[in-house]
Amino acid sequence: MPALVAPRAPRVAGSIKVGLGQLSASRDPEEAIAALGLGSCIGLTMHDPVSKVGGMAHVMLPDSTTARSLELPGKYADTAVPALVQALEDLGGRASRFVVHMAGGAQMFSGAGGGVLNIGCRNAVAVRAALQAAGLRLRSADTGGSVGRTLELAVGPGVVTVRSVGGAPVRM
Amino acid sequence: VSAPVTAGRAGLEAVALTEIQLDALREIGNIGAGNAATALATMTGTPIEMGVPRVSALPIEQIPAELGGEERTVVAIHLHVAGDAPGRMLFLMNVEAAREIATTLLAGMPPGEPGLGGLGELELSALQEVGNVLTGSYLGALSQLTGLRLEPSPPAIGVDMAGALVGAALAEVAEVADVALLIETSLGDAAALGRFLFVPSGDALVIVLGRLGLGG
Repeated sequence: MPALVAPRAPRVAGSIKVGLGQLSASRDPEEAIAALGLGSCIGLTMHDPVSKVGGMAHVMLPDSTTARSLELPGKYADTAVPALVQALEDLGGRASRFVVHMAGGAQMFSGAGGGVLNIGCRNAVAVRAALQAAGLRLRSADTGGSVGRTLELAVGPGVVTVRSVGGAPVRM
Repeated sequence: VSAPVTAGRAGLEAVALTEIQLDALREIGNIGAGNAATALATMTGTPIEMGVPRVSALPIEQIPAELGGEERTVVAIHLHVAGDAPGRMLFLMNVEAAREIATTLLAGMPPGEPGLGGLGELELSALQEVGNVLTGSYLGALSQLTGLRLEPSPPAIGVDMAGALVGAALAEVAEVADVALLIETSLGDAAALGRFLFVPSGDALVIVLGRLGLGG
């Protein structure tokens, strides 16, 4: 497992946008971390309510065993979970206190060409398995269905919200 | 772009695209989308403008950010391309433009029960058929130009955030490759209508270039 060197997600004015396969952590209480337009991908958040450290991974695929590169640990469920834990611990978080949420894993296309493999569902299952392997409990999950989601974590309070097209943000 | 674009891994190994190769790939986008635009103009009775195609070899996870507007609602037609140069094809339509096209095609018929993204079931079928015809003409032109056998799957449709739809289509490509070639052509004035994305996966790029006499 390669060590996470630095968050790769871009920072803009108090908010970090976590792109496909990226992961990011912060201890700036004013900061918000977001993954925009999650489809079959999973947005996974961890937050330590004591040290007020939070982070998010934007998981694209279930399994890194066939990966040609582990440059982006956030890309695969099995590498994203330990890498995100590490990133939060590096900032002073303690894994035993982490509050964990996830959203995404939808099947975005209907019709014959879509979802033979249903990666969304496989992603959700793989993230759950990786959390279990890491001894982490999932507080809540908003996964499946056929809608895109935007997931946001407010680092200070640890509030996680999810919203879909045309909908208001809903607290998880 | 004057410097060669270096792409890595998974079939694109050691592929550095030269200006001539990029031109050839842009021409593919041009011919494919040109054919599709003609087909759409015939269906709707309105001339369709087309932008200059953009070609880039990118790590797959960078594509949605490159396209931008991850949260914007779009209609996406997605299909798999099998055959000599396998890959994915996406046609992203702006919702307003899609609704207009559907209304034109339904010619006074009711839109049907509300379905995906508030579009009627009949509107969605009409758009799926539009996607079918357009992607078919795009690939037909490419096939004719290169002599490659390209077999499109039936199209799937989605109406949602652009990032969610593009990400889901790319996830399948990402299972077998790290880098993909993106050939993007916009339709309508200032891409007001939509965009074609053709993402040949793995060895497809090498095969396409080889067939154009631009390999190695």
